[in-house]
Amino acid sequence: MNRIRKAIGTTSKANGKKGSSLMEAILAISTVEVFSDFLGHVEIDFKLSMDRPQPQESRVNIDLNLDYISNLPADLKEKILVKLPLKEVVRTSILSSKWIDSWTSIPNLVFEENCTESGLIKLVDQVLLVHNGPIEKFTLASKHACNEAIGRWMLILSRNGIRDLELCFQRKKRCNIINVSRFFNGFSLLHTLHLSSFHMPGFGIEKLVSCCPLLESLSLCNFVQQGCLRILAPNLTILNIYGDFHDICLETPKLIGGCICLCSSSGDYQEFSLENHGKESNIKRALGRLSNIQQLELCLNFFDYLAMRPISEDLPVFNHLTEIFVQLSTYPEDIATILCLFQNAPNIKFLDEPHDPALWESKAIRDCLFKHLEVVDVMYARASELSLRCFKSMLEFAKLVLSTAPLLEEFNIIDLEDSMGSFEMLEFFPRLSKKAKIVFVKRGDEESGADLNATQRVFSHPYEFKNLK
Amino acid sequence: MITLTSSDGVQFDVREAVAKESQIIRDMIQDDCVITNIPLANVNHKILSIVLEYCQMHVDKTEMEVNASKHQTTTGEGSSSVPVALKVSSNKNLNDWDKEFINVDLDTLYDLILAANYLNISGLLNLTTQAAADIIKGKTTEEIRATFNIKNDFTPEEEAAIRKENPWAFE
Repeated sequence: MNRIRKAIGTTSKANGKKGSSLMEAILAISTVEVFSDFLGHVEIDFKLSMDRPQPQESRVNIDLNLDYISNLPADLKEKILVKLPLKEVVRTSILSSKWIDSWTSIPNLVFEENCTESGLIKLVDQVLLVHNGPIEKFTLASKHACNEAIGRWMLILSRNGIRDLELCFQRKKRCNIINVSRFFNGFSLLHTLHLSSFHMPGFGIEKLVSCCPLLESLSLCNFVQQGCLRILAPNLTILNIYGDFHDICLETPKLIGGCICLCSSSGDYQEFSLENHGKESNIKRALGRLSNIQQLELCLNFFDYLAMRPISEDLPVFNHLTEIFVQLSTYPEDIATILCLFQNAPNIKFLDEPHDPALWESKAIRDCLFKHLEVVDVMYARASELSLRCFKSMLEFAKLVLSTAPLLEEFNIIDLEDSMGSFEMLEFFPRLSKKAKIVFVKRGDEESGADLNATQRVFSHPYEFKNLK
Repeated sequence: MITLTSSDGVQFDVREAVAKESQIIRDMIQDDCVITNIPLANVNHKILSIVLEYCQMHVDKTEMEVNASKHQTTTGEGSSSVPVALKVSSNKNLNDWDKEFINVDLDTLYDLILAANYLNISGLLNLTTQAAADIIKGKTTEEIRATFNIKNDFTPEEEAAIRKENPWAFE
């Protein structure tokens, strides 16, 4: 039986549209016994087909019309549709009457249409109107702000069980306004929120975040916040901030992975910091409540911001902090700040991207940091303008770490451009740790770009593995 | 060892770990630990053998990884990122294997979707529905109908009316 089924399957595939005439031919020579066997196996198809009025030769048609996919249970059809772009999903409505409404219950709506603002608003409105059932994920990536509509969409989504919301607008200065509706009562089920290039007058980021009690992952990019950016989220585990703010206060006790970039072209945060002399130091207010933090990335002006005010004496001990990514200068204030951070993080095992080896010349930093260091990652891009300087400082740094870190297990050189330099001399550097080895990692293309999932760190291609003795 | 019997009476002896890839079998075994023979009324022997091939491969791969990381820790050479690197490469192999594995004719794919759903094997269900989506992706309505033998039962007027509901999707 299977053989015959397969035979029909392959011949009809090979002959494309001629399938039906071929089927007739095959049926003509097949016996009644084969036919009944067929019925057993396409039971669902048979029953459903019988619901519809059949023409005279219906017995033949039932068998030949091997349209399995249309008769899949609705939940399985949904599982297929959800993996297609929205446009193609909506297009399935004209396949046949069995498909006409299938798309209206898919839980994920991803809009990446390239059309006019009014066109976009109309189509999102249309889809939301016809959609029937919970909307778990809503993504809008648009060059238009949709100022007038975004508020009502948020309202509709808040009432339909949204769990994952992403609104990415094209970068414009303060034009992409999110007007929150007065009926909006918060996203009670939201787990993931990603906003990019937006401005929320009146409502504010703090209020929005506070009315998402289950929020676990938050990403805010390209925004300007006058005054203090306060994030109050009891369940937040992943935070990604890239924007201009004057001050920051994180009340996120469960945070595991955080990346904070302050990109201020005006330097307003300096003035704000000077004007608002409070009791708390900047580092205490920003990082002081992150008792569970494991991975931390601090970029651009953020270190400068932290160093603005005197260092706090009573910073908590970051016992779980094992991985740190820093971009810093060699200003004495910055060094004092990072020293303060490292002194309170005794378990740092992983260090990424040391920009300038001069920083590590401070023995105090070396002593408090290198004592526990197990893994070091260095990015290396040969083609960059600074390649020679980078290469030299990388070698200097390697020499220093290899000779002073007693627990070092791995010194990874991550090649960003598949341009392995000659690192043979590394073999001759003295090493304090017996276990230390040098690993070259070629970074694949798929790994480029910022990784939001800060709790995972994956190397895509182990390039070469050298165990030095 | 557990014996799984297909709808057409063929018996398959498999390791418990392999059978447990199926959530429904896992629940059965947990509820009653003396069960050794499980009849599967909705899966014939041809499809069951393919499903079991998938389960076997995925169990083997997972066990290999566990062993590799164990070896790492016992020899004391391990560091946190080595197993990760290993895992990535073996995941890559497994993805390639999955890709090859799911290269089947439509009838089989359809049966596999139903079987994966019935046996509740989330990885296989995801793989099969993704394969179906990949077949649909990029095709015109006519091409989709031809591929899956979907009979258009709309009149031209009806079809035009549906297009009008969401004109943006048909541009």
